[in-house]
Amino acid sequence: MGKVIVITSGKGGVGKTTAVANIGTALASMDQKVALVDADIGLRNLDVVLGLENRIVYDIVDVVEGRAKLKQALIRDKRFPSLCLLPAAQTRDKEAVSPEDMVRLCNNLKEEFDFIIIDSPAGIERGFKNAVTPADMAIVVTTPEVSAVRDADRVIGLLEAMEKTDSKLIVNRVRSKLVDRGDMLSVEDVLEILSIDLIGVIPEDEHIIISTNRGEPLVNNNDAPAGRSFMDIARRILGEDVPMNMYTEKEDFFTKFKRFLRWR
Amino acid sequence: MGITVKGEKSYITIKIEGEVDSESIDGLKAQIEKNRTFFRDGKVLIKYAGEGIPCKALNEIIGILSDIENITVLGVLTESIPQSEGNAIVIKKTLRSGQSISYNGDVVIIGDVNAGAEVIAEGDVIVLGSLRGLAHAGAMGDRSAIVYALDLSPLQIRIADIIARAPEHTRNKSVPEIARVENDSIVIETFSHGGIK
Repeated sequence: MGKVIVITSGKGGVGKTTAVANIGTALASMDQKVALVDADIGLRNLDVVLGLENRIVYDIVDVVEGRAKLKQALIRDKRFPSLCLLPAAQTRDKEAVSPEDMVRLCNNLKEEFDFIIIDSPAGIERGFKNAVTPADMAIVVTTPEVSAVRDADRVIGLLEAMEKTDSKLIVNRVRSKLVDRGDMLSVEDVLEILSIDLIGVIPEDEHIIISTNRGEPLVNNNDAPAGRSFMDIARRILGEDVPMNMYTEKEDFFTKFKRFLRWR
Repeated sequence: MGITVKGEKSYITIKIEGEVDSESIDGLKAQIEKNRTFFRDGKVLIKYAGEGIPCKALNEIIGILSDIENITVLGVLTESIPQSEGNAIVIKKTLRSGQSISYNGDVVIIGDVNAGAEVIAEGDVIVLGSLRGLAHAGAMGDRSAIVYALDLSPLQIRIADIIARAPEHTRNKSVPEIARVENDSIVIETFSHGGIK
Protein backbone atom coordinates (compact mmCIF):
# COMPACT_ATOMS: atom_id res chain seq x y z
CA MET A 1 0.00 0.00 0.00
CA GLY A 2 1.32 3.39 -0.97
CA LYS A 3 1.58 6.53 1.13
CA VAL A 4 -0.20 9.75 0.18
CA ILE A 5 1.79 12.95 0.82
CA VAL A 6 0.33 16.41 0.24
CA ILE A 7 2.63 19.37 -0.30
CA THR A 8 0.93 22.57 0.72
CA SER A 9 1.68 26.10 1.96
CA GLY A 10 -1.24 28.51 2.07
CA LYS A 11 0.75 31.25 0.35
CA GLY A 12 1.47 31.04 -3.34
CA GLY A 13 4.91 31.18 -4.90
CA VAL A 14 6.86 29.59 -2.06
CA GLY A 15 7.88 26.53 -4.07
CA LYS A 16 5.20 23.86 -3.68
CA THR A 17 5.28 22.71 -7.29
CA THR A 18 9.09 22.76 -7.41
CA ALA A 19 9.16 20.68 -4.23
CA VAL A 20 6.65 18.16 -5.63
CA ALA A 21 8.61 17.79 -8.88
CA ASN A 22 11.98 17.42 -7.19
CA ILE A 23 10.96 15.20 -4.27
CA GLY A 24 9.01 13.06 -6.74
CA THR A 25 11.96 12.62 -9.09
CA ALA A 26 14.31 12.06 -6.16
CA LEU A 27 12.13 9.24 -4.84
CA ALA A 28 11.78 7.79 -8.35
CA SER A 29 15.58 7.83 -8.75
CA MET A 30 15.71 5.70 -5.59
CA ASP A 31 13.57 3.07 -7.32
CA GLN A 32 10.30 4.04 -5.70
CA LYS A 33 7.10 3.97 -7.73
CA VAL A 34 5.82 7.54 -7.54
CA ALA A 35 2.63 9.17 -8.81
CA LEU A 36 2.46 12.96 -8.81
CA VAL A 37 -1.06 14.43 -8.69
CA ASP A 38 -1.63 18.05 -9.67
CA ALA A 39 -4.63 19.27 -7.64
CA ASP A 40 -4.32 22.85 -8.88
CA ILE A 41 -7.20 22.55 -11.34
CA GLY A 42 -7.47 25.60 -13.57
CA LEU A 43 -3.90 26.78 -12.88
CA ARG A 44 -1.86 23.70 -13.67
CA ASN A 45 1.92 24.01 -13.48
CA LEU A 46 3.36 20.70 -12.44
CA ASP A 47 3.34 19.33 -16.00
CA VAL A 48 5.33 22.36 -17.16
CA VAL A 49 7.93 22.06 -14.40
CA LEU A 50 8.33 18.36 -15.23
CA GLY A 51 8.50 19.06 -18.96
CA LEU A 52 5.51 16.81 -19.69
CA GLU A 53 3.02 19.43 -20.89
CA ASN A 54 2.98 18.23 -24.51
CA ARG A 55 2.03 14.69 -23.51
CA ILE A 56 -1.25 15.45 -21.73
CA VAL A 57 -4.24 13.71 -23.30
CA TYR A 58 -6.54 13.12 -20.35
CA ASP A 59 -6.53 14.85 -16.97
CA ILE A 60 -7.77 14.39 -13.42
CA VAL A 61 -11.28 15.71 -14.20
CA ASP A 62 -11.61 13.26 -17.11
CA VAL A 63 -10.83 10.45 -14.68
CA VAL A 64 -13.23 11.68 -12.01
CA GLU A 65 -16.05 12.18 -14.52
CA GLY A 66 -15.44 8.79 -16.11
CA ARG A 67 -14.28 9.87 -19.57
CA ALA A 68 -10.92 8.18 -19.12
CA LYS A 69 -9.45 5.34 -17.08
CA LEU A 70 -6.83 6.24 -14.50
CA LYS A 71 -4.17 4.32 -16.48
CA GLN A 72 -4.94 6.34 -19.61
CA ALA A 73 -4.53 9.67 -17.87
CA LEU A 74 -1.25 8.85 -16.09
CA ILE A 75 1.78 10.15 -17.99
CA ARG A 76 4.94 8.10 -17.57
CA ASP A 77 8.14 10.13 -17.38
CA LYS A 78 10.62 8.64 -19.83
CA ARG A 79 13.65 9.85 -17.86
CA PHE A 80 12.43 8.16 -14.66
CA PRO A 81 10.34 5.13 -15.63
CA SER A 82 8.91 4.70 -12.12
CA LEU A 83 7.54 8.28 -12.11
CA CYS A 84 4.02 9.14 -13.31
CA LEU A 85 2.04 12.37 -13.45
CA LEU A 86 -1.71 12.80 -13.19
CA PRO A 87 -2.17 16.29 -14.63
CA ALA A 88 -4.80 18.84 -13.59
CA ALA A 89 -7.44 20.13 -15.97
CA GLN A 90 -6.80 23.63 -17.23
CA THR A 91 -10.27 24.47 -18.56
CA ARG A 92 -12.16 23.66 -15.36
CA ASP A 93 -12.08 24.91 -11.78
CA LYS A 94 -11.66 23.43 -8.30
CA GLU A 95 -15.36 22.62 -7.99
CA ALA A 96 -15.01 19.96 -10.70
CA VAL A 97 -13.53 17.59 -8.10
CA SER A 98 -14.73 16.83 -4.57
CA PRO A 99 -12.64 15.68 -1.58
CA GLU A 100 -14.42 12.30 -1.81
CA ASP A 101 -13.35 11.97 -5.47
CA MET A 102 -9.76 12.60 -4.39
CA VAL A 103 -9.93 9.93 -1.69
CA ARG A 104 -11.28 7.39 -4.19
CA LEU A 105 -8.62 8.35 -6.73
CA CYS A 106 -5.79 8.05 -4.22
CA ASN A 107 -7.05 4.70 -2.97
CA ASN A 108 -6.76 3.41 -6.54
CA LEU A 109 -3.28 4.91 -6.95
CA LYS A 110 -2.14 3.43 -3.61
CA GLU A 111 -2.47 -0.09 -5.02
CA GLU A 112 -0.01 0.62 -7.79
CA PHE A 113 2.44 3.16 -6.35
CA ASP A 114 4.69 3.49 -3.29
CA PHE A 115 4.20 7.23 -3.01
CA ILE A 116 1.43 9.52 -4.20
CA ILE A 117 2.48 13.16 -3.94
CA ILE A 118 -0.26 15.77 -4.30
CA ASP A 119 0.55 19.31 -5.37
CA SER A 120 -1.88 21.51 -3.45
CA PRO A 121 -3.04 24.84 -4.82
CA ALA A 122 -2.39 28.04 -2.84
CA GLY A 123 -5.22 29.17 -0.60
CA ILE A 124 -7.35 27.42 1.99
CA GLU A 125 -10.57 26.86 0.06
CA ARG A 126 -11.99 23.96 -1.93
CA GLY A 127 -8.76 23.18 -3.80
CA PHE A 128 -6.87 22.93 -0.51
CA LYS A 129 -9.50 20.59 0.97
CA ASN A 130 -9.39 18.44 -2.18
CA ALA A 131 -5.62 18.10 -1.91
CA VAL A 132 -5.40 17.51 1.84
CA THR A 133 -8.34 15.16 2.50
CA PRO A 134 -6.74 11.97 1.06
CA ALA A 135 -3.29 12.63 2.58
CA ASP A 136 -1.55 10.40 5.14
CA MET A 137 1.20 12.97 5.62
CA ALA A 138 1.49 16.69 4.93
CA ILE A 139 4.60 18.64 4.04
CA VAL A 140 4.18 22.36 4.59
CA VAL A 141 6.46 24.58 2.52
CA THR A 142 7.37 28.07 3.68
CA THR A 143 10.03 30.63 2.91
CA PRO A 144 11.76 32.62 5.66
CA GLU A 145 9.39 35.55 5.20
CA VAL A 146 6.92 36.77 7.80
CA SER A 147 3.95 36.57 5.43
CA ALA A 148 4.74 33.04 4.27
CA VAL A 149 5.28 31.87 7.85
CA ARG A 150 1.96 33.42 8.87
CA ASP A 151 0.15 31.50 6.12
CA ALA A 152 1.99 28.29 6.95
CA ASP A 153 0.83 28.69 10.54
CA ARG A 154 -2.77 29.04 9.37
CA VAL A 155 -2.45 25.94 7.21
CA ILE A 156 -0.93 23.89 10.05
CA GLY A 157 -3.90 24.93 12.19
CA LEU A 158 -6.31 23.77 9.47
CA LEU A 159 -4.41 20.47 9.10
CA GLU A 160 -4.71 19.92 12.86
CA ALA A 161 -8.43 20.65 12.65
CA MET A 162 -8.73 18.04 9.87
CA GLU A 163 -6.91 15.57 12.16
CA LYS A 164 -3.88 15.35 9.90
CA THR A 165 -1.32 14.90 12.65
CA ASP A 166 1.71 13.92 10.56
CA SER A 167 2.93 17.32 9.34
CA LYS A 168 6.49 18.21 8.39
CA LEU A 169 8.09 21.49 7.37
CA ILE A 170 10.33 22.56 4.48
CA VAL A 171 11.97 25.97 4.74
CA ASN A 172 12.65 26.98 1.15
CA ARG A 173 14.80 29.69 -0.43
CA VAL A 174 17.04 30.32 2.57
CA ARG A 175 19.84 32.79 1.92
CA SER A 176 22.57 32.13 4.46
CA LYS A 177 24.28 35.47 3.95
CA LEU A 178 21.11 37.42 4.70
CA VAL A 179 20.43 35.24 7.73
CA ASP A 180 23.97 35.80 9.02
CA ARG A 181 23.50 39.56 8.64
CA GLY A 182 20.23 39.34 10.55
CA ASP A 183 18.23 40.51 7.56
CA MET A 184 16.29 37.27 7.11
CA LEU A 185 14.43 34.99 9.49
CA SER A 186 16.58 32.00 10.36
CA VAL A 187 15.33 28.43 10.21
CA GLU A 188 15.34 28.47 14.02
CA ASP A 189 13.10 31.57 14.05
CA VAL A 190 10.64 29.87 11.73
CA LEU A 191 10.65 26.68 13.79
CA GLU A 192 10.06 28.63 16.99
CA ILE A 193 6.85 30.06 15.57
CA LEU A 194 5.55 26.99 13.75
CA SER A 195 6.78 24.32 16.19
CA ILE A 196 6.51 21.32 13.87
CA ASP A 197 9.19 18.87 12.71
CA LEU A 198 11.61 20.03 10.05
CA ILE A 199 12.12 17.69 7.09
CA GLY A 200 14.43 19.88 5.03
CA VAL A 201 16.01 23.25 4.37
CA ILE A 202 16.47 24.35 0.74
CA PRO A 203 18.95 27.12 -0.07
CA GLU A 204 18.14 29.79 -2.62
CA ASP A 205 19.57 28.43 -5.86
CA GLU A 206 19.64 29.82 -9.40
CA HIS A 207 19.66 26.28 -10.75
CA ILE A 208 15.99 26.02 -9.72
CA ILE A 209 14.95 28.83 -12.06
CA ILE A 210 16.83 27.27 -14.94
CA SER A 211 15.52 23.78 -14.27
CA THR A 212 11.92 24.96 -13.87
CA ASN A 213 12.01 26.82 -17.16
CA ARG A 214 13.57 23.89 -18.99
CA GLY A 215 11.22 21.34 -17.46
CA GLU A 216 14.06 19.25 -16.08
CA PRO A 217 14.05 18.40 -12.38
CA LEU A 218 17.22 19.25 -10.52
CA VAL A 219 17.90 16.24 -8.41
CA ASN A 220 20.45 14.55 -10.62
CA ASN A 221 22.58 17.65 -10.74
CA ASN A 222 25.10 17.31 -7.94
CA ASP A 223 26.34 20.87 -8.43
CA ALA A 224 22.98 22.29 -7.46
CA PRO A 225 22.69 22.88 -3.69
CA ALA A 226 18.87 22.80 -3.90
CA GLY A 227 18.96 19.49 -5.77
CA ARG A 228 21.10 17.88 -3.09
CA SER A 229 18.77 19.20 -0.38
CA PHE A 230 15.76 17.66 -2.16
CA MET A 231 17.60 14.32 -2.37
CA ASP A 232 18.11 14.50 1.40
CA ILE A 233 14.40 15.12 1.92
CA ALA A 234 13.54 12.06 -0.19
CA ARG A 235 15.90 9.96 1.95
CA ARG A 236 14.22 11.26 5.10
CA ILE A 237 10.81 10.34 3.67
CA LEU A 238 12.16 6.81 3.18
CA GLY A 239 13.07 6.75 6.86
CA GLU A 240 16.81 7.36 6.63
CA ASP A 241 18.41 9.51 9.31
CA VAL A 242 20.10 12.23 7.27
CA PRO A 243 21.70 15.19 9.09
CA MET A 244 20.51 18.67 8.09
CA ASN A 245 23.03 20.10 5.67
CA MET A 246 23.08 23.62 4.33
CA TYR A 247 24.65 23.06 0.91
CA THR A 248 26.37 25.96 -0.79
CA GLU A 249 27.45 26.62 -4.31
CA LYS A 250 30.96 25.44 -5.05
CA GLU A 251 33.07 28.48 -5.90
CA ASP A 252 35.77 28.28 -8.53
CA PHE A 253 39.03 30.11 -8.10
CA PHE A 254 37.93 33.08 -10.20
CA THR A 255 34.82 33.95 -8.15
CA LYS A 256 36.76 33.47 -4.95
CA PHE A 257 39.36 35.90 -6.22
CA LYS A 258 36.73 38.43 -7.24
CA ARG A 259 35.15 38.23 -3.81
CA PHE A 260 38.57 38.67 -2.25
CA LEU A 261 39.13 41.87 -4.25
CA ARG A 262 35.71 43.25 -3.30
CA TRP A 263 36.33 42.44 0.33
CA ARG A 264 39.49 44.50 0.35
CA MET B 1 -33.42 26.96 53.22
CA GLY B 2 -36.16 28.72 51.33
CA ILE B 3 -37.66 32.15 51.46
CA THR B 4 -38.71 34.13 54.51
CA VAL B 5 -40.47 37.49 54.58
CA LYS B 6 -39.92 39.87 57.47
CA GLY B 7 -41.09 43.40 58.18
CA GLU B 8 -38.39 45.84 59.27
CA LYS B 9 -38.99 49.39 60.55
CA SER B 10 -39.37 51.07 57.19
CA TYR B 11 -39.07 48.26 54.69
CA ILE B 12 -39.72 44.61 54.10
CA THR B 13 -36.95 42.05 53.62
CA ILE B 14 -37.27 38.92 51.56
CA LYS B 15 -34.50 36.62 52.66
CA ILE B 16 -33.41 33.78 50.42
CA GLU B 17 -31.28 31.02 51.82
CA GLY B 18 -29.60 28.23 49.92
CA GLU B 19 -31.18 26.65 46.87
CA VAL B 20 -34.49 28.04 45.71
CA ASP B 21 -36.96 25.53 44.29
CA SER B 22 -40.31 26.13 42.64
CA GLU B 23 -42.06 25.11 45.89
CA SER B 24 -40.62 27.99 47.87
CA ILE B 25 -41.38 30.37 44.99
CA ASP B 26 -45.00 29.19 45.02
CA GLY B 27 -45.01 29.60 48.81
CA LEU B 28 -43.83 33.19 48.46
CA LYS B 29 -46.43 33.83 45.79
CA ALA B 30 -49.22 32.54 48.05
CA GLN B 31 -47.92 34.60 50.98
CA ILE B 32 -47.89 37.76 48.89
CA GLU B 33 -51.36 37.07 47.51
CA LYS B 34 -52.66 36.65 51.06
CA ASN B 35 -51.07 39.85 52.34
CA ARG B 36 -51.35 42.17 49.33
CA THR B 37 -52.12 45.18 51.54
CA PHE B 38 -49.01 44.52 53.59
CA PHE B 39 -46.86 44.80 50.50
CA ARG B 40 -48.74 47.68 48.84
CA ASP B 41 -46.75 50.94 48.78
CA GLY B 42 -43.91 49.05 50.46
CA LYS B 43 -40.19 49.04 49.99
CA VAL B 44 -38.57 45.67 49.55
CA LEU B 45 -35.01 44.58 50.06
CA ILE B 46 -33.99 41.16 48.81
CA LYS B 47 -31.24 39.47 50.79
CA TYR B 48 -29.41 36.44 49.57
CA ALA B 49 -27.06 34.22 51.52
CA GLY B 50 -25.17 31.63 49.55
CA GLU B 51 -22.82 30.97 46.68
CA GLY B 52 -23.15 32.90 43.43
CA ILE B 53 -26.32 34.67 42.40
CA PRO B 54 -29.60 32.81 41.79
CA CYS B 55 -30.58 34.85 38.74
CA LYS B 56 -33.56 32.67 37.82
CA ALA B 57 -35.10 32.79 41.30
CA LEU B 58 -34.50 36.55 41.55
CA ASN B 59 -36.21 37.07 38.22
CA GLU B 60 -39.24 35.13 39.37
CA ILE B 61 -39.45 36.97 42.70
CA ILE B 62 -39.19 40.35 41.03
CA GLY B 63 -41.83 39.22 38.54
CA ILE B 64 -44.21 38.40 41.38
CA LEU B 65 -43.50 41.68 43.16
CA SER B 66 -44.08 43.74 40.06
CA ASP B 67 -47.75 42.75 40.14
CA ILE B 68 -48.24 44.73 43.34
CA GLU B 69 -49.17 48.39 43.08
CA ASN B 70 -46.60 50.98 44.00
CA ILE B 71 -43.96 48.63 45.27
CA THR B 72 -40.29 49.60 45.28
CA VAL B 73 -37.45 47.11 45.22
CA LEU B 74 -34.64 48.82 47.09
CA GLY B 75 -32.07 46.36 45.88
CA VAL B 76 -30.54 42.95 46.18
CA LEU B 77 -28.00 42.26 48.88
CA THR B 78 -25.63 39.39 48.37
CA GLU B 79 -22.88 38.09 50.58
CA SER B 80 -20.74 36.80 47.76
CA ILE B 81 -19.10 39.36 45.51
CA PRO B 82 -20.19 38.82 41.93
CA GLN B 83 -17.08 37.94 39.91
CA SER B 84 -15.87 35.44 37.42
CA GLU B 85 -13.72 33.63 39.96
CA GLY B 86 -13.38 29.94 39.24
CA ASN B 87 -14.79 30.48 35.79
CA ALA B 88 -11.80 29.81 33.58
CA ILE B 89 -11.03 27.74 30.56
CA VAL B 90 -7.66 26.05 30.08
CA ILE B 91 -6.46 25.40 26.54
CA LYS B 92 -3.54 23.06 26.17
CA LYS B 93 -2.41 23.79 22.64
CA THR B 94 -0.86 26.47 20.49
CA LEU B 95 -3.37 28.80 18.87
CA ARG B 96 -2.38 29.28 15.26
CA SER B 97 -3.20 32.01 12.79
CA GLY B 98 -6.93 32.14 12.11
CA GLN B 99 -7.90 30.35 15.32
CA SER B 100 -9.82 32.19 17.96
CA ILE B 101 -11.01 31.62 21.52
CA SER B 102 -13.64 33.68 23.24
CA TYR B 103 -14.89 32.91 26.71
CA ASN B 104 -17.02 34.56 29.37
CA GLY B 105 -14.36 34.14 32.04
CA ASP B 106 -10.60 33.86 32.28
CA VAL B 107 -8.64 32.11 29.54
CA VAL B 108 -5.45 30.20 30.30
CA ILE B 109 -3.43 28.98 27.35
CA ILE B 110 -0.67 26.44 27.80
CA GLY B 111 1.11 27.00 24.51
CA ASP B 112 1.69 29.94 22.20
CA VAL B 113 -0.75 32.39 20.66
CA ASN B 114 0.66 32.99 17.20
CA ALA B 115 0.25 36.12 15.12
CA GLY B 116 -3.15 36.09 13.45
CA ALA B 117 -4.79 34.20 16.33
CA GLU B 118 -7.02 35.90 18.89
CA VAL B 119 -8.04 35.37 22.48
CA ILE B 120 -11.06 37.25 23.78
CA ALA B 121 -11.92 36.90 27.47
CA GLU B 122 -14.37 38.65 29.74
CA GLY B 123 -11.79 38.08 32.46
CA ASP B 124 -8.01 37.76 32.33
CA VAL B 125 -5.88 36.30 29.56
CA ILE B 126 -2.95 34.19 30.75
CA VAL B 127 -0.58 32.72 28.19
CA LEU B 128 2.01 30.22 29.38
CA GLY B 129 4.03 30.65 26.21
CA SER B 130 4.56 33.40 23.67
CA LEU B 131 1.75 35.82 22.96
CA ARG B 132 2.22 37.11 19.40
CA GLY B 133 -1.42 37.42 18.36
CA LEU B 134 -4.25 39.55 19.68
CA ALA B 135 -5.39 39.39 23.28
CA HIS B 136 -8.49 41.16 24.55
CA ALA B 137 -9.02 40.93 28.31
CA GLY B 138 -12.09 42.29 30.09
CA ALA B 139 -13.90 42.26 26.78
CA MET B 140 -17.21 43.24 28.38
CA GLY B 141 -15.71 46.35 29.91
CA ASP B 142 -13.83 45.12 32.97
CA ARG B 143 -10.84 47.42 33.21
CA SER B 144 -9.36 45.48 36.10
CA ALA B 145 -8.63 42.56 33.78
CA ILE B 146 -5.02 41.73 32.93
CA VAL B 147 -3.04 40.07 30.19
CA TYR B 148 -0.12 37.92 31.28
CA ALA B 149 2.37 36.02 29.13
CA LEU B 150 5.74 34.36 29.56
CA ASP B 151 6.77 36.25 26.43
CA LEU B 152 4.53 39.21 25.80
CA SER B 153 5.13 40.34 22.24
CA PRO B 154 1.70 40.87 20.68
CA LEU B 155 0.95 43.25 17.85
CA GLN B 156 -1.86 44.70 19.90
CA ILE B 157 -3.30 44.36 23.39
CA ARG B 158 -6.84 45.29 24.33
CA ILE B 159 -8.16 45.60 27.86
CA ALA B 160 -11.84 46.57 28.14
CA ASP B 161 -12.24 49.59 25.84
CA ILE B 162 -8.53 50.49 25.68
CA ILE B 163 -6.28 49.47 22.81
CA ALA B 164 -2.48 49.54 22.88
CA ARG B 165 -0.04 48.82 20.11
CA ALA B 166 3.26 47.08 20.67
CA PRO B 167 6.24 49.42 20.94
CA GLU B 168 8.17 49.91 17.70
CA HIS B 169 11.54 48.81 19.01
CA THR B 170 12.04 45.08 19.19
CA ARG B 171 13.00 43.63 22.49
CA ASN B 172 15.23 40.63 22.66
CA LYS B 173 14.51 39.78 26.24
CA SER B 174 11.87 37.26 26.94
CA VAL B 175 10.65 37.68 30.48
CA PRO B 176 7.19 37.20 31.93
CA GLU B 177 5.24 40.42 31.64
CA ILE B 178 1.85 41.67 32.64
CA ALA B 179 -0.36 44.27 31.00
CA ARG B 180 -2.98 46.17 32.94
CA VAL B 181 -4.87 49.45 32.91
CA GLU B 182 -3.54 52.42 34.81
CA ASN B 183 -4.95 55.94 34.34
CA ASP B 184 -6.88 55.13 31.19
CA SER B 185 -3.94 53.56 29.43
CA ILE B 186 -2.37 50.14 29.25
CA VAL B 187 0.92 49.71 31.07
CA ILE B 188 3.21 46.73 30.73
CA GLU B 189 5.56 45.70 33.47
CA THR B 190 7.80 42.72 34.16
CA PHE B 191 6.14 40.22 36.39
CA SER B 192 8.42 39.51 39.28
CA HIS B 193 7.92 37.33 42.31
CA GLY B 194 5.31 38.80 44.56
CA GLY B 195 2.74 39.32 41.86
CA ILE B 196 0.80 42.43 40.98
CA LYS B 197 1.59 45.50 43.04
